[in-house]
Amino acid sequence: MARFAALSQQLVDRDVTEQTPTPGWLDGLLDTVAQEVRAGRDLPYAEGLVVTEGAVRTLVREAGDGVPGALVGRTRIRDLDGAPRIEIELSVLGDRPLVAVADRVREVVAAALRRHTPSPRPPST
Amino acid sequence: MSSIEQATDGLLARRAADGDGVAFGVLVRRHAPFWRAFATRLLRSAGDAEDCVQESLITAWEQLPKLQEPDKVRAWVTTIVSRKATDRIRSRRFTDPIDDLEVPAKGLDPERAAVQRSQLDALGAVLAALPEEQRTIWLLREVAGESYDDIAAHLGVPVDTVRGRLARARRTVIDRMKDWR
Repeated sequence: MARFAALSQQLVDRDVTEQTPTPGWLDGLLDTVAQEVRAGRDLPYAEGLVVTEGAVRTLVREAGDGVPGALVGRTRIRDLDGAPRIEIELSVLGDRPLVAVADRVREVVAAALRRHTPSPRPPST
Repeated sequence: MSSIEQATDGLLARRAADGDGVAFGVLVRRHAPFWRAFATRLLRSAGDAEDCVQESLITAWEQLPKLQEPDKVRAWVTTIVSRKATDRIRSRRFTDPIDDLEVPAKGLDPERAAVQRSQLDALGAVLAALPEEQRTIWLLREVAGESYDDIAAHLGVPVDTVRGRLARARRTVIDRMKDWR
């Protein structure tokens, strides 16, 4: 029976290589998804202003990914006595030194948050 | 700039759960051809399959924050695709004719691997001729590698029913493919 399982998988694999999706199908699909923005809850930003979690996460990802060899994974935003604390899951590509890359990510993310967060208590990372 | 294209499925799924549409796009480009092919075998219609995958990916995007094991995102989406496909099959019963029974394939191959090719064609025809309930379970079990419990849960039928249908599908496949041993 294992033979038929393997053959069934080969059949679908062959379909993948030999079938051509309708032109524009994949792009249309991605456009649809891009319209569904996930904003997340509001975080206090400055007097009377809020910023969405989604915006903070985007900022963190863009800053972190900018560090060579770094790829930001999941980000968690926690409330620490009124000041948001941001935890970043990080992947380091290739044989780059883990600690050095992590330190650099911490720096650039903190800098990016300071630049875009004019509060007296910038989020800690 | 790090290349997100190199990221693992798990990392991309975790980022997508955070609302990163770019990461989700990389996942989709990586696996959509498989989901499309899988859905085409289930639905026996490429057009239906494309609609089904699109619908499934919107659901996946919405439910990603709840995904327990991001590393298994491909299998998780495959499950969503099969569930949506099953819904489609149920709703079209007695209504729409199937538009393209023959799965279209681009040209290739003269003699090379002709035997292998006809064996796959034969299996494709056998699977296409199976009753829908059996074909769905066959594909979920043998191609997607789902457990009996998972199949039962997501089709909403008892595990014994899953076993029974798979056993019948197997008998048919073995019988029709016996010349290919």
